[in-house]
Amino acid sequence: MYAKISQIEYYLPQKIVTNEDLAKENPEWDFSLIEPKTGIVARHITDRHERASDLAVRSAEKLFQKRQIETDSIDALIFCTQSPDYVLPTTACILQDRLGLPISTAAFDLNLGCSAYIYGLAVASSLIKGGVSERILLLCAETYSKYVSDTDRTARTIFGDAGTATLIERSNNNKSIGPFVLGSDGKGYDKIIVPEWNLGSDNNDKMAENSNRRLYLDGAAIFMFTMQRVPKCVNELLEKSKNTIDDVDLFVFHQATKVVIDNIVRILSLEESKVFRGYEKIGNTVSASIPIALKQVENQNLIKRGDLIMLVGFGVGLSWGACLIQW
Amino acid sequence: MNSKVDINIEREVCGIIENALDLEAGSISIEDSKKTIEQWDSLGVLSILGALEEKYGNEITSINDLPSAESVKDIVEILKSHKII
Repeated sequence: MYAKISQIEYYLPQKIVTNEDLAKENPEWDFSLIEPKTGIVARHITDRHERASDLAVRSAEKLFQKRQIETDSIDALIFCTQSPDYVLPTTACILQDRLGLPISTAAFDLNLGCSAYIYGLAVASSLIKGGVSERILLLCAETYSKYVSDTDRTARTIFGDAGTATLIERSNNNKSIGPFVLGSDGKGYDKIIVPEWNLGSDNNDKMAENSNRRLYLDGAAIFMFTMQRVPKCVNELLEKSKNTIDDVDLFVFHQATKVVIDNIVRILSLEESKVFRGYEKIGNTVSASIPIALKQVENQNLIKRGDLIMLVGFGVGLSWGACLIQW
Repeated sequence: MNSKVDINIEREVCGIIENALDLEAGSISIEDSKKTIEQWDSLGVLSILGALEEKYGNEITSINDLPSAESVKDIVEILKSHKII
């Protein structure tokens, strides 16, 4: 028994914040220096009362509509987020109800960031292979903008909000998802951190003064981790799957920023034509970045049936993961 | 007094930083730092680290104090202390 990705959809909040907008608000931010490094010119940002669950619902509804899916047929819902609606309960349960999924649905959150989609695929694929589930909705949604201080030049220019929905189903052929390489290094837990819980939209003004409720990002340390870990992770997966770099038709990395992907490409000596970049108008959307990139790849006809794609997520945790999918 | 070897090493590191930050060759010295180089900001440092990795190899990625280096001198000292240069 195998698992396959049947459909991906995504939703971006209506509000777009461009670099020009940020420059007007922060005249001291020099985008002639920033933009060439990030490669990002705009990002979508949630409204004050818009939560991660809202983004997830929008993307799931889009998927149901496009694929004409009966909600009764979903037997598991995995929600990847680091910006849940509440401390408790798990947002996945709220989503089960809002999406009208049957109460027989297994619903749970995965609290991971940039590696979350890979972990979500690993869990979903295992549930299917183990005979526990047949049709799984893997949702990813982030509202990091609510954690980012208005004056944080690095984080504010990088992160965007987004939601995605991926349908994962049982497949009878082995051209599917896997194998996987997963890993963690908690020694770097404080390199990307929100030290205190941020409850979301309602109390945002009161919390703005408290830096412990804002995102701290040590970009340089994370960058070193990326240069050290991602190439190793890619090579481990190639070895595990008995493939070479040439066997892979397309690499879809977590869409961190231009400078990060540039250096991964350089270290691994990858052909630029085999590396997808989709951050320009969306930014770094954390757990949503890989599924959005995959959908962009599909929309731009950059892949054909049977192509071998490597997905690689890495970041907050520190955590990383990579897998192969046969399209 | 710095030896000729030291001066060459310093010049090499300055050159790497100049290239990474798209600065004119010879425009920075061992005395320069984040405070004197506008381009050496929170994103510019990523280009510097990438360029150092390209020149000296992946082992520099395990040097924990390198990301927080504040000056050219700091970088040279850190690389020397780890026997990278």
